[in-house]
Amino acid sequence: MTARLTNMLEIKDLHAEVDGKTILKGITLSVQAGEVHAVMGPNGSGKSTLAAVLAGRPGYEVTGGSVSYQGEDLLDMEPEERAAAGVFLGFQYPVEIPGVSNSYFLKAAVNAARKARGEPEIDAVSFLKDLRAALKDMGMSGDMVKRGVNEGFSGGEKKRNEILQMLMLKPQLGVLDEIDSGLDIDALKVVGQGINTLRSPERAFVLVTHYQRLLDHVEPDVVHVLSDGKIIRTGDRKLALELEDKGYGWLTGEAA
Amino acid sequence: MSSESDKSVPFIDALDRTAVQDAEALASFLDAGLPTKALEAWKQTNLRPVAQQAFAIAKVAELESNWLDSLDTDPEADRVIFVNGHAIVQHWRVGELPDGVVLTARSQSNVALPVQSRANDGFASIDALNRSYAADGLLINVPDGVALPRPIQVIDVAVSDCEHQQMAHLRHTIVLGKHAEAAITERVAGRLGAAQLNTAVWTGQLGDNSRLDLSRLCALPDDKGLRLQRIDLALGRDATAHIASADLGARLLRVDTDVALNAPGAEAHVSGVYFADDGGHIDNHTRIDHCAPLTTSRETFRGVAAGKSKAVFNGMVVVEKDAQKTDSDQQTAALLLSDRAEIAAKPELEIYADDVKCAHGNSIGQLDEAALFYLRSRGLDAETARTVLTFSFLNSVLEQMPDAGLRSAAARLIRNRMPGGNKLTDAEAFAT
Repeated sequence: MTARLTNMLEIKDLHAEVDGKTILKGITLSVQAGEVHAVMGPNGSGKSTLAAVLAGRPGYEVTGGSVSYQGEDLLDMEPEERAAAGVFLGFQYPVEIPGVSNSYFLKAAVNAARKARGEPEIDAVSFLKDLRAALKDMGMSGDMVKRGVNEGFSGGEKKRNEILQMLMLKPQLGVLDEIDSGLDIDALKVVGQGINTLRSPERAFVLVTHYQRLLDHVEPDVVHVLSDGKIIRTGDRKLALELEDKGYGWLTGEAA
Repeated sequence: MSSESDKSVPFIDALDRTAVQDAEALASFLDAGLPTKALEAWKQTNLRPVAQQAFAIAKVAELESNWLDSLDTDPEADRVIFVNGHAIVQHWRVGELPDGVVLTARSQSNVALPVQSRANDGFASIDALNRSYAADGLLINVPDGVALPRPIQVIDVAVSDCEHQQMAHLRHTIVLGKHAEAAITERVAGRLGAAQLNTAVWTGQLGDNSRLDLSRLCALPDDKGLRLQRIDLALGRDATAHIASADLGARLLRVDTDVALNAPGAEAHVSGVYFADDGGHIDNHTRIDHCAPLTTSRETFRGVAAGKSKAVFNGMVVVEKDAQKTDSDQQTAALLLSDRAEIAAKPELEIYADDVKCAHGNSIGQLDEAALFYLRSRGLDAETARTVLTFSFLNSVLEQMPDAGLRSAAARLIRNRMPGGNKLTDAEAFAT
């Protein structure tokens, strides 16, 4: 008997537009559990639109194709239903929410996930234990969870806070949108380690990135290059290195 | 009939001429009549729900002790209770007070506290109505150098059965001597079978270097509670007043908060939150007068309007010619939670001095879509996400309320006004 491989994420001929402008022009991509996929591409190629569509951000209209997640129609799910099903979107620009403390936010998110799994709310002691461990992993101070969500955080601190949330939520699928942009070398390393901590045969990641350097820390299984709303090349890690070397112009046919 | 008032309306025709406390005041009220929308100060607030009805002078009513206990937010505080405009002294709880302190009901005492009220043209006729009928209220006198050992909790409730439309009036007076300190809370609530009109006027005089904390919470039934209120404080040299309000319900609520900074170094901190829910109307008019140099004011108001409701904020700051080096800041923001709700917000600045720092900002909007999506993408359902954002919007101003007990009561009432809000029990979780 052979185990049937179920794709974690199956994107088929996905078309999407924003404000009437077509951005994704037929993306096909499948991600198996245990895999890390990098989606690379020049500015305006549609990388962030792909991440936004996967997370269900309002304002992005899917005009064709399908996305199934663990066999379910992802596009039919509300953002909170996607989260409950184990999808995590790491934001390129995490939102500041003054007045709502980071710790409340984390606890509410953790409990929403537990509720979706039919588990009771987390007790205060376990929550604090998990939180302390995650803070340590991310090199963040306890003070940062008492502040408003991302309030007054630097760009790097916001990205660490994204990974902190991911560590607490332990999603099945992490879609991280340019999690490496605006990070210095140390922060990049910490963020990379955070992702590696969660890497397991049951989980999958889609890393949307402009630069190769994140992939020095998180080794991808598959690399896709996106240009003008389509995947123009798929390969292994070497493809990312080659891109670093030659620039996107090498594939898109334009001067880099 | 004057174009600015309604003099022959059911309200006036039905006035009880036998219960009058101050005939002169009644004469001036009858001369002016109830304000109409023709008056600038009442453009956004229509008193027709008052004018078109007859109200009898309210009688004392029985209080359920459970309800009373639920309104008592600080068992350590001295407690004074008024029901339908009458002091119910058997429910008062006043501990030992320092020598010279007066804390009594107007109906129980003939102490005369010399306090000069300042004119407020917009509120003048309501003030006259209040003087005409107010037989009771609180008298507080704190002598020089004395700090009240405990906060004074004023519970002002309106109670009626379903047959009687009533009105009730209270006049409170506070005098703080030099270096005196007092903390007062006002809790307004109602159990109403019929519409009821309550008026209340607070007049306060703060001596040099004195400090007053005044925390207010008003939550009346959105279908029956009518309330017109004025707070009028005059501050001496280096005196500080912290006035914080939470106006969380009424069919019609109008609060005029007037602060005069009469001598150098006087400082006013005025903050407020409001929640106008379906059927409700909440109007805050504030006026801060910088009458002397080196005076400071800080004002923050935030509110929301939900369902079919209306909220009004009018914030006047006046800087007199001699009030050089005035430092004033006024920030207001409001959220519209429904497309049937209305918010009218108007900051007004009148500056006659030339060396001042005056800032103001005003915004009205909806919840931040990006923040909503962020919360939802972390698993919070849309309703909870909205409630969390709305609560935190108000809570960040509510935090300025000096009295902790009243503050948490207000936070709870705000949460209970929102879908799923009662799930947000952990107020500590909200950042300040």
